[in-house]
Amino acid sequence: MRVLVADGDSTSRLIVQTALQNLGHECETTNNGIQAWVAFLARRPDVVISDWRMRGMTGLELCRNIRSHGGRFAYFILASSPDEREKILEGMSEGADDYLVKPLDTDDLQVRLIAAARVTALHRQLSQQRHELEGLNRGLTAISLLDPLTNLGNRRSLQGDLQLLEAQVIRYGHGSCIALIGIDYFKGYNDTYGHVAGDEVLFTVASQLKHNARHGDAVYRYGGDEFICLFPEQSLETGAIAVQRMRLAIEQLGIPHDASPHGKVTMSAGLALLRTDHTSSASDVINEADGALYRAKELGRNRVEQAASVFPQADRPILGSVKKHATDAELRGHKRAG
Amino acid sequence: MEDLRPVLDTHVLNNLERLGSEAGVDLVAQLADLFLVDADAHVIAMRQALEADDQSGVVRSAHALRGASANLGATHLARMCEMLELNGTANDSESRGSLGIGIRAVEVELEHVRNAFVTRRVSV
Repeated sequence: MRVLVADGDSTSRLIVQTALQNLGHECETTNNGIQAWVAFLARRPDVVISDWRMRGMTGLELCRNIRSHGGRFAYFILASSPDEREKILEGMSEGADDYLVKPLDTDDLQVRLIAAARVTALHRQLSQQRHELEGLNRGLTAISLLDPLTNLGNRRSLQGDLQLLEAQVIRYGHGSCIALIGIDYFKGYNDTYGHVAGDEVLFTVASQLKHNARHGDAVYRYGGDEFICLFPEQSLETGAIAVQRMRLAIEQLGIPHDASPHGKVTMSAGLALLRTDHTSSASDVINEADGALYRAKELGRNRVEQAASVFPQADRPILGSVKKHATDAELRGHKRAG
Repeated sequence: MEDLRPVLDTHVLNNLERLGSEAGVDLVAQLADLFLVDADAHVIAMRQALEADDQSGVVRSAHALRGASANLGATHLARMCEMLELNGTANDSESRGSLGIGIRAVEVELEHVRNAFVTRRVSV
């Protein structure tokens, strides 16, 4: 063990130092409280043996400082003369682990050091276990946020990130684009090719979406064959550019799909804007995107549609290219076909 | 009478010798050197404190010398220092008046201790 000895008396220091070295411990000595505190911070010893009476800082103050400093555990032994027993009580209640009565008895010292070594080892073990547990928890948290099939963020992960995005939109006053993406005729694909092949398509599409997302964009599996992309600080127009690139990438994979009129696996998407004016929550915006996705499916699939303005506001971004078909509110009444 | 009481407690010295031999050093000699230098300084500090009418200064030095004396088995010297401490902290003028005599007694006993260490070194 690394032991720091703080004592104003040179004979006490030499006796303790010799005893410690005989027992195979490393030893550093100081003759006053302030130097002891400085040495403690620099060396972080396993054990501190400190006299109660010292210049600069008493052993009690040193003990208090060490305890309130936190960090790696140090075993603290307070030494005092036999007529200062009340100091021992005070020291022990302030966080000292053991005490020594002067004049120093070397056998006694040896006994105390055995206890110190045992307690110190236990503390090390505990802190190591805590460290391992924290690592394990971090791992589990990461796993709990992932969709096991596609390795994308799952719905729980989306929930947290969406809250964060909502707060950023309100704080910084930049809108953000949300896309809801569905694989076209996915039920038909599963029925034709089986669920294993269906899972492969989900995995492949997920990889393509991720691959085509830009830095800062995020892709999640929303459920079934549906995915959500978050485009922070993007308008409907710039979001649409990104989603079109994803749509094209999937179409170009050319995965055969006999149950689709397109003859291959394609996707459709609906976009909506998370606005800065508090008029709609994130779940409202997902509903708007859902409406737009429904429209994309109605209009023949393998296409991207943007949500119509439900709450027109003067300070909203100009949605120049949004084509008004049926309003999303009207469409939401219908059940969307897969 | 005086010759009958041991200046240095042999039990304490034997323990220290054992400790030193495990470390391969003459620990008692090293401790004696440290002790005698410090003890002289403590006695000087006591005298100065007494002249400055600083009782707590006398008590402080007496306490320090007591601890070191006890470490080396100078039991009688330790006890004299303890008496000095008690008289220094007492409130009656008689106790305070005895501080000068107490310091003188400490000086005399310290010379006995010094001689005992010298004798020991010669005999080792």
